[in-house]
Amino acid sequence: MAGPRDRTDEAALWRRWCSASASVDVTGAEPDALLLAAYAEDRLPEQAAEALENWLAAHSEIVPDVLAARCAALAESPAASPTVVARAAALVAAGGAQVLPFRRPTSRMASWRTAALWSGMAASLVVTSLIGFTLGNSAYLSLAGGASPAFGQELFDPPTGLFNSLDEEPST
Amino acid sequence: MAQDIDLAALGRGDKAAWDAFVRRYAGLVVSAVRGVSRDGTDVEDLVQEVFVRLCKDAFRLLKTYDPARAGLSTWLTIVARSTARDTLRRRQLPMTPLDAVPERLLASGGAPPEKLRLPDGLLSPRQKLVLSMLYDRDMEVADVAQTLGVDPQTVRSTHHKAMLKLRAHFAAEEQEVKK
Repeated sequence: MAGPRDRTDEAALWRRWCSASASVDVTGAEPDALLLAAYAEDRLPEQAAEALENWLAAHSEIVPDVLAARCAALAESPAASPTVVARAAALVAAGGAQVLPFRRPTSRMASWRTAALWSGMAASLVVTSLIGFTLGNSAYLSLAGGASPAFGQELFDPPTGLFNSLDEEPST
Repeated sequence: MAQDIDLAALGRGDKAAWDAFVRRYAGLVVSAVRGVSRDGTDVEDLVQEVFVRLCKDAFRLLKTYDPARAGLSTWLTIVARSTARDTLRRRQLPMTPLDAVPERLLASGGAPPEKLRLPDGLLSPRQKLVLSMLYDRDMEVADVAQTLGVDPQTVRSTHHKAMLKLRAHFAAEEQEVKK
């Protein structure tokens, strides 16, 4: 290699070449990782390696990847932290996991007990309705200010006086 | 090496195979990613990005790996560094508001750059790569030799021949201009 001053001159020469060749299409499609890995392991045929080197010369930012890949193949990598391993492992769920259907609850009660249950519920509804009715009735009577004998009759047989008065001819 | 990893099971999404793969190669991915991350922060997130990329779309990327073409460690290092670089690039994309761009830069038109006529094959791809590594990346000769898997002396020889060609080419060009 040359000295510092020569190195500067040579670098300038290389830059001049680069600027001159910048308008020439020397770049192709980006090679995939497998191609770069094969190149790093010297497994590519000469022609493919030349094409890749041509591309790498125009994309020198990828060159450290090749160097790192060569080193990775030779050196033993350190162990990762448990956090990193756990996070990455959690990306894939257990393959044996299956969706289990809910089991239908089986009725162990005898049919007479079921019937008694429903009957009890119906009876309680009836009793509750009666109590509610009685209480409401008592409240109405107390608000009306005395017992009204015609209350039951009004409730079930509403007076038709209003309609009767409409039907009647106005008295002159 | 990949002998202890069941690649077929990995491709099927087998949990045990994935766990074994992660345990075996997480350290390698961490090392590879550390080489790309400038300040060393976010290494864990970058590592996770790599594993996400490997297993997403039903392990599409992982299925492209072919053990007959390259070792798994080598391939994984390339993938990890590439993924980390892409992720960092996405995060650091400069956002310039349109108003801040001078109008002359937005204007289109003008003559296209004149294409220079360069002799085909003046420099071989290997010579170009050596010069690029030496002068664009400021790499040492030993590193260049290691990258290419050759002797340092071969690198020096390749560099010397390339420089002779360039000097001769540009000297001839200057003489033509003088005429």
